[in-house]
Amino acid sequence: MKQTIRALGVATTILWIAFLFFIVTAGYSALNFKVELGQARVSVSDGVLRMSIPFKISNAGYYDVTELNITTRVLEENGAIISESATFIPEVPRGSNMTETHDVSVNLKELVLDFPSYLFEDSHLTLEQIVGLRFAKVFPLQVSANATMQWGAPLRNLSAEQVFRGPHNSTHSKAGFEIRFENGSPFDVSGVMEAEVYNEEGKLLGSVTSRLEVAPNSVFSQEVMVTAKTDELTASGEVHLYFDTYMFRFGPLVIHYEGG
Amino acid sequence: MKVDSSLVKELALRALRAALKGLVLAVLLLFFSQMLRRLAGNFGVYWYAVDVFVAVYISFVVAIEFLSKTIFQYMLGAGKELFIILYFMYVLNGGEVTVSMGPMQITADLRVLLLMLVSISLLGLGKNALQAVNFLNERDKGSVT
Repeated sequence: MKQTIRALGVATTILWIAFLFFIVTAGYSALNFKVELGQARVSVSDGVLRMSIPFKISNAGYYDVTELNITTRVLEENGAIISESATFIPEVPRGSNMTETHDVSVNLKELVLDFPSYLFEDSHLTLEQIVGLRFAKVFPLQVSANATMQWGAPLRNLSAEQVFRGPHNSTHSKAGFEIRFENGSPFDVSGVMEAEVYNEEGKLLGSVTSRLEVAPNSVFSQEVMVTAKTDELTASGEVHLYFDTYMFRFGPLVIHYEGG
Repeated sequence: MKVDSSLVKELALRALRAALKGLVLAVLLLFFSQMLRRLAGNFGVYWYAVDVFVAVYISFVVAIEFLSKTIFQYMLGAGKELFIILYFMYVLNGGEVTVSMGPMQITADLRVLLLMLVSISLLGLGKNALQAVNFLNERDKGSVT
């Protein structure tokens, strides 16, 4: 019995020492595992917003870090996922440094199709970043952080108003419409806008195609003149707008007009 | 009632040994705790949990030392191991630990660590149980007075 007790005593002492040694070295290693983010490069092409974030990993601890997974989710106001991007690094051996790039992309063309209000209303997006890893091949660890990103609408305060209506000749009249919006986004609204004017009976009165080159935080204003038979030029009707830019394609956007 | 002077002397010695042991352990554990805090920063409620653990653990050690060479030594020893198991299972939430630091949230799966801790404590519990049986056995044989 005494030998058994002695053996158990020695075993528990050794195990406690090993356990505490592991805790201390694991804690030290965790504090010496560093991730440094570099300057993000942002570009937009073919309607896709791309953000490339370089980062440097330094594992100066005693244990390997495996299954390093960096996930970035872009969520809209109500929590729906707009895009999800992931970077996976199988192993970061102890004593090593490595540089990787995490790419986040948001398909703006799909964004405005799924959430058209983002074209016209300022909002905010939530950036959810989740870093998961397995420490010392035993402990799964996950770090998550949220950040809010302001979204400025590229067609903020879009309006189409009848600003002029008068006779052209004995049979025809003309009407002028002002199409106006502010580019609240950080990108140029560059492309083509087509405007079609309809009377209240649905008859097409005229159309205009305009080139768009609207810088960020600038106002676009365009006057569209239509000439039609006086009885066809009703006091109210609709303006149908079509936008085709490198960022998004949208239309028809129907704006009802009255008076003038 | 005449108090046996040797018993008083024995109790005083035990109290002194227990107090010294408790003091040394308190200094060591508090030093370790302060060093961890400086390295790891503020983990909120978990530092309070460390302080509670240190206080209760030292109390067990002092009581065990004071009641040495009695059956209560082994009962308290087993109680100490059980306390370690239950306390860490409660504080570590069964192994799933989540700490919020500002906008950041850290989630760690410490089930393996908890399993190691529980296993070592169960060995200690078994050892105390065997020691208690051995003590009673030897007392019955007349080896321990």
